[in-house]
Amino acid sequence: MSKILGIDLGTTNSCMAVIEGGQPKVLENKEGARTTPSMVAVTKNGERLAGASAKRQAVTNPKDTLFSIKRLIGRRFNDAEVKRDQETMPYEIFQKGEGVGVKMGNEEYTPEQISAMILQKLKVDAEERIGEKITEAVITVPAYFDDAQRQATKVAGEIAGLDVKRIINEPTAAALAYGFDKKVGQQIIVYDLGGGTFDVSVLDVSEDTVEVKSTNGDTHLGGDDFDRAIIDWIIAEFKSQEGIDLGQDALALQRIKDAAEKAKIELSTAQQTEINQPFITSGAEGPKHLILTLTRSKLEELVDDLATKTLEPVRAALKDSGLDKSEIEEIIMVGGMTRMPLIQKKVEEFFGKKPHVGVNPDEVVALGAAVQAGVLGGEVKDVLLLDVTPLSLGLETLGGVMTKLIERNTTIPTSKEQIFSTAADNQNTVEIHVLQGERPMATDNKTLGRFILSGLPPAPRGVPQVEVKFDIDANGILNVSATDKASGKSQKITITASTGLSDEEIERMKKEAEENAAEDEKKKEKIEHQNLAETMIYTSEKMLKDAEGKISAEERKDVEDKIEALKDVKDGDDHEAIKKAADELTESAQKVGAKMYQGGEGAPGADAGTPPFQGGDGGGSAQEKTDEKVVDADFEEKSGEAGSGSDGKEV
Amino acid sequence: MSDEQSQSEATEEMDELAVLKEKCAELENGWKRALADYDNLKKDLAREKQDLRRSTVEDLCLQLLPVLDNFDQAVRFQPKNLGDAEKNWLAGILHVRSGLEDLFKTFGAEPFCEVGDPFDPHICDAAGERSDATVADQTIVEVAQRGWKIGDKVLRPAKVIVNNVTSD
Repeated sequence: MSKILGIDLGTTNSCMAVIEGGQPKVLENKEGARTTPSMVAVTKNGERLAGASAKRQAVTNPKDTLFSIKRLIGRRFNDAEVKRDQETMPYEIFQKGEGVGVKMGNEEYTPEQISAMILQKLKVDAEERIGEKITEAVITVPAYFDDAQRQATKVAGEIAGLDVKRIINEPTAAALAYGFDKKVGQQIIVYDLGGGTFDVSVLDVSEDTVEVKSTNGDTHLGGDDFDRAIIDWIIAEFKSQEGIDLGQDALALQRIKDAAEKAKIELSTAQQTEINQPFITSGAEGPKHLILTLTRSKLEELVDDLATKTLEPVRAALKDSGLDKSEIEEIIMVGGMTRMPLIQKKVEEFFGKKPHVGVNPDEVVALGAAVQAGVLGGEVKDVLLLDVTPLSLGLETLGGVMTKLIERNTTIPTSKEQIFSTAADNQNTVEIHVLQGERPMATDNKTLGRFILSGLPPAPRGVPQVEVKFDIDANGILNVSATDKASGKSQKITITASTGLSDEEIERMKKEAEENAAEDEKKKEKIEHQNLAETMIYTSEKMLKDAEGKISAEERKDVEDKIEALKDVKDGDDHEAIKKAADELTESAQKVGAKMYQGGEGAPGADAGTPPFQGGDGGGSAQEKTDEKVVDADFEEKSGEAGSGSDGKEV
Repeated sequence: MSDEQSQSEATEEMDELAVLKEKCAELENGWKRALADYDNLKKDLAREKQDLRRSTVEDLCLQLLPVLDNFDQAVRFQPKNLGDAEKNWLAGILHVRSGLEDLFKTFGAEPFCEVGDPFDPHICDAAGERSDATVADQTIVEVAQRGWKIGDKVLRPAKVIVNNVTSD
């Protein structure tokens, strides 16, 4: 079953998309670009060009390079728009029957035939991209297009070899891309500020359709006008500085155009930008450089009139729809110019709510056409919907920290395992405290449950391997199990409410995590340092025991002193001091360790062979056995003795 | 009577069995597809990683090329009657420029487009035109900005002035 191509056939640029893996995806053209200029030309040599190649030779071949054909398609020759284009377009427009004819390379064509050439290029490039033939399409048109214009667009598709399954309105396509066709009973405004035209539409979403209640706009207002304002400013500034009019220099003008567009784009995110074009031209005294700073506020000053001008059609469209601006539930932004903060601000001020800019405004209409194509092609059918776990899940480990096993937004069903170990020598029970939330400290998160695994055979801390497994099934039921690999003993718990939190609760927890991130980070760091220090103390003391008789009294004292020094600072807040003391202990301990190797007696015990400084992880021997990161769990002894380093919390 | 009962029970069970078998086949199919999709996703990701690496290099080159262009402009505007000291200094600057150009070559980028080449709108952008009957029509008479490509892909088209011989 072949794919149906979704096409945004724009006045200046076109874009195409298909459904892939259930999602609409823009297809790049042969040149690797995501949009294609809506231009067609015939060169002096008789070669026909479409897209970027046609644009590139437009300057040298104006009479035979056709653009903005969308302004003519489906119109009668006597339309005011046609008259205007006849006067301004460099190519020949004449009457053909009741309608319009254009001339290109000594041949006559209808606008449908010209649009077909653009569609043809899109079709061929799309086929190459997806590796299969395309015979069907959904094409978008402005909401104000009448029947004749829609029919002509359909004919253009047919000439290009496409069976046009549907012609849909551009604002409707934009709404589809956002999924707003599901917002039954809502009113939506689509604000479309493209390269050369401005369109505003009021949509009403009902159960089975999206109805266009009114449209308005300005067919000669777009991004090009904003670029022009910047270019004029640059030329004026340079003239006042150097007395030279760069507008007369074709090459300099090219560079200025590029620089103006680049500056406009940068100022959407930065507060100011440099226009840096050295050696732009030469004057009597030598080469001249164009170096200017353009601030966002200056840019906004230059284009404020243009931006304000867009609100008039918005008011008119609202009036025609019979709605007040307060009744508009959503505003969708379409067209590259809507990336400008000033435009978004004006729209937000006007409506009193933020407009939607989440979907790429250059591509949103094509994506919506693809969504429609997908529905028609049956690709968007009953897919098995999967849930995600809204908050992270994990357990409490040494120091009261939460160690996450399953990150939030993980698709379920899923399961994850990790190996944990003990915090104290001969610890024979571990407590699994199951938590849900985003904060690093266990107490700041929600307790889902607890259980205890007992009967662990005696072993030094960090040696036992307890595999903890978190398993969430498709219904959101969480099973947590803990298995001691040595004894095979296992315990588990079933929690039914792991995805049962309300949306508000989830949002609140996420927000709290964000707000407290910095502080939480500090707390976590402190605990990590403490853990580190304690591990070091433990392993060093153990090593000293094993080194009985193998090292000198001074060497022993050196290590013992460093251990004491570290013990003094480890509970304090001075991270630097803790790190310094730990480093000094490492140094001394490693000297002793090296000496023990030289003694030729072989590694006295499993741990002594590994460097004592292991970072925050559990003992080296456990790490060697498995590839998984081994973490010290804050497991407490059932007998009530405080585990080392734990905060003495009761079970 | 019990015969009829047990017969209808048997039919019911057969029906249920058939339904369950169908459901089972559907689930197995769905499961296999999901596993296959996952496998294919892994392959796609590996490909995407490679593509990402390539496109990052291309983006970087595109951002840096204007610096090289400006060096070329500087050379174009070099003052006449330079003394030996200035000439020497300029030679050093040109070495810096060469170093930058070599950097692009290590990325696999190559310049293209020379004066005299036929104008090809697939790879060149006409920034302007001239009419010179002594030069072949539709050829490049000036290169304002060199074009660059990586492999077969045009990174940036050249900006050129085209000789457009007009009959009038």
